Amino acid sequence: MIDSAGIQRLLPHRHPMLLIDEVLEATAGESLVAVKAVTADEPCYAGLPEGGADDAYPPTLLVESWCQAAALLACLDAPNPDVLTGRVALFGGIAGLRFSRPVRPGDLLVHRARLVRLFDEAAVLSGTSEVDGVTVLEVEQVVIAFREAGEFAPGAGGADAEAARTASGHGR
Amino acid sequence: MSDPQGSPIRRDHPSPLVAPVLVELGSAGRATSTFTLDAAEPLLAGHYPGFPIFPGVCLVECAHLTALGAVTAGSATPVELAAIESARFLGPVFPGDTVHTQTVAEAVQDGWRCRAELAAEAPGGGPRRQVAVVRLRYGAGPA
Repeated sequence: MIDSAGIQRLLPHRHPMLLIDEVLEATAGESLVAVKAVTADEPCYAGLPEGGADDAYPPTLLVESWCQAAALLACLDAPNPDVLTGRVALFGGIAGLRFSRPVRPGDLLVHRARLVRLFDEAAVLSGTSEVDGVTVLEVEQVVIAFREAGEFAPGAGGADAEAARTASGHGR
Repeated sequence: MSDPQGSPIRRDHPSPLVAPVLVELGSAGRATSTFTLDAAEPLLAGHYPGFPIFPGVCLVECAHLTALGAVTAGSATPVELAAIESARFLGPVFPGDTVHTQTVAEAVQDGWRCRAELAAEAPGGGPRRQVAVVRLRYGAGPA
């Protein structure tokens, strides 16, 4: 439904941190389903010992990938792929992320994100990630904060925190 | 692929980070670490072009690697990350900053709970700014 080129018109993330391949379903203001194929060629596997046993995809990258699906949902109506102007989506806070089994090369991640609340300056989302219909990640709550890019330059620290606090004060 | 200094990348586990998180183990489940964000850290090229900023999940990665050091040091069996109970992001981290992480791990019934506080220091020193507070839970990993 939205291919990689379309995703790059919605999100500012680029290689090696663009962690969504395709959006399968999207209903603005409600929900989104997106996929990412995990491969042995991911940059996170570069430089590992030959024949090393540990090939689990880093849980933090799994979370980032899910959050990019969430960010796509949060900005479907007002995308801004240029972080130098306009509003930027930032990670405000997360709560209740549970990992139920490791993700490995060859797995196709299916991220499901649901918009819980939308504020002027933040969005609250929840959802899951699955591989072959089995849940690998449950997300109770992620807060994405929107800030003007100009406010968020080096030296303007903490701007995102304010929005996150505002959102968590109203959310849930 | 090379690291920020131009040497071939060497890692002992899959990670979004190329430069090492340097962990020092303390006593009673405590650990500290430092990670200096080089402007050439590969992920910054995509996060974001023209506006490099350290992803929030990479602060969680610093917390995880630090806490894991403390947890595995006290365990005869493998452990793995079971949950990010919470993470609050309090300020940005930019190229050149050093991230200082302090964790404390506590054994609970089915694993360990860890709390991490992360602060960033600008190049050349100066006051440390608190950038994140992260709570992690670990359980038994595959034998």
